[in-house]
Amino acid sequence: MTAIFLSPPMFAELSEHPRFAESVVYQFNGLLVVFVALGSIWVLLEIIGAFFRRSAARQSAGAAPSATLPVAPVAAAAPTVPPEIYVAIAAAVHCAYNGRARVIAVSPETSDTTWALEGRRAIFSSHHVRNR
Amino acid sequence: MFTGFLDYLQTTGFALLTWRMLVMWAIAGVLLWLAVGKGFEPLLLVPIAFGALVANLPTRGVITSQMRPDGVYESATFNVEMSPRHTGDVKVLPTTAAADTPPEKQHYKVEKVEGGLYDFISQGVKLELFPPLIFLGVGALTDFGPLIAMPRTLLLGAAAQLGLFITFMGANMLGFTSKQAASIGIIGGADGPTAIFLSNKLAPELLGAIAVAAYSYMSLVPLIQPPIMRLLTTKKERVIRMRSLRKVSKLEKLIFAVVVMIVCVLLVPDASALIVMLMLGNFLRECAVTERLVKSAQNEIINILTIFLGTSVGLTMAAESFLAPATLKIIVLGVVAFAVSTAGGVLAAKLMNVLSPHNPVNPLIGSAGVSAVPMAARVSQTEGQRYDSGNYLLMHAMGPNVAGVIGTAVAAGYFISTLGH
Repeated sequence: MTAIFLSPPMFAELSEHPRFAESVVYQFNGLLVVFVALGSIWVLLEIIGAFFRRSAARQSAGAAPSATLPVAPVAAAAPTVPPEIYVAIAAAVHCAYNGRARVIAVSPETSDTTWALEGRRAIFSSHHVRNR
Repeated sequence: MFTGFLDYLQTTGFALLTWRMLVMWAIAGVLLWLAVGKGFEPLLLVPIAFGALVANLPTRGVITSQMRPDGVYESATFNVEMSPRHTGDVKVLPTTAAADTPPEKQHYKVEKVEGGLYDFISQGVKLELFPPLIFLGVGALTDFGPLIAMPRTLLLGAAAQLGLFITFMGANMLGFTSKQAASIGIIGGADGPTAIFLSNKLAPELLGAIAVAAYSYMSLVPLIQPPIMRLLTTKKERVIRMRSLRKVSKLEKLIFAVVVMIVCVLLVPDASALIVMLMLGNFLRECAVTERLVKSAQNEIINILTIFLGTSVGLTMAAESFLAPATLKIIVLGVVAFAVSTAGGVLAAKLMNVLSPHNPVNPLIGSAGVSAVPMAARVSQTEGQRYDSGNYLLMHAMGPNVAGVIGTAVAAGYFISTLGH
């Protein structure tokens, strides 16, 4: 199989006006070269990436006990919201809804994705992509 | 008196105008309108269109153009006058020197170099200096992080080179030689500098038409790609949400630049100039200790070269060479190349989902495998949001997008290694 791919004229010379079959084999080999090149980089990147992921996991595992142990008793307590934040939220809600809404509960956001999402939304909406 | 006036007119540029030149003025006008009025790739289309206009004016001192005996139109040539150089008491004459003296022993003194401004500047294209230097800037501007975080998208960049090879066959069937067919096919890669690099090497007579087609279609990415993307995907596939990309460390990015350079140079040495400069630019960016160099590569170097490259390419668009049936064929083949490359990327993404259903990719990012950075990735993002407004595909699409740059350079290397020697 390999001999077929590597034999001339595929990787050697191609005539100025090749026959159809020659042209097909030439194209196939060209795509093969591109896939081999980028596939090799993919494999190497997976190997390198696995090494980095493992070392990152090891680092975080090593750092976790020292960080969590002393904090554990504090973490048991519910995260508190300063009273001025309640006031600010209530004022904002009052202004936004013209006094027709009531704040029932306020809880701190534990996930950090909302701000990231909002950031992305702001960035994407600031660029205008033409749709013609 | 009237005869004197007519004689004077014969010395002006009016006497040299032809109807073909006027047609080219109109074409240059259309390109300028697309660039300025419509905002299509203005950074390149403006210099190209302006160069095209200048190429079809009877200028003096700008560029020398002539038709060779074989019918090929050649521009940017300059004359060098030399005289034998005296070495001690012995005067080495050219005739005897050629016969008796080894070439390394012959000495000449350059007396005079005659040529217009762009006879010299265009040597940057002819000697293949500008495209690799622009790649330096591209590397300095590109964040390969999304590709490193999801390296399997390299396959999408590879699959999106399908159009190059299919178009090669189509061009061959339309009567183009293998070298010309390869130069036309590379339009499908949607990478201007690579298209110029390859066509200058294999088919310089088609450089103007190929460059114009490549940059025009790059600017039309938001128009050409979406119908193909919709045709080849289901609504269910278009709303696939992909996993977040992991954070890539600085060291990983540095290793990436070196590894890609080594692999590509070993596999396709003929693409070395492009790949080496791309990765040098990227290494400068990621190492974070060469800020001044990165800034120059990202701004001054790439901007100056873009002006020179664009105008040099435009100046090859003289009416005698551009107004030919071949140009029309190239324009048609170019859009075929682009469409097939887009389809190749999308279909490869669908195939990846069949093979790896637990970690699917949104097939819309496959189209970004053509290397029009970052326009193709933004088209994936826009199309994705059309069906799911909370789906952010941009960073995922940047992976195949930058992989396409590498893939096109590798394909160009393959064409040069098999056809260019």
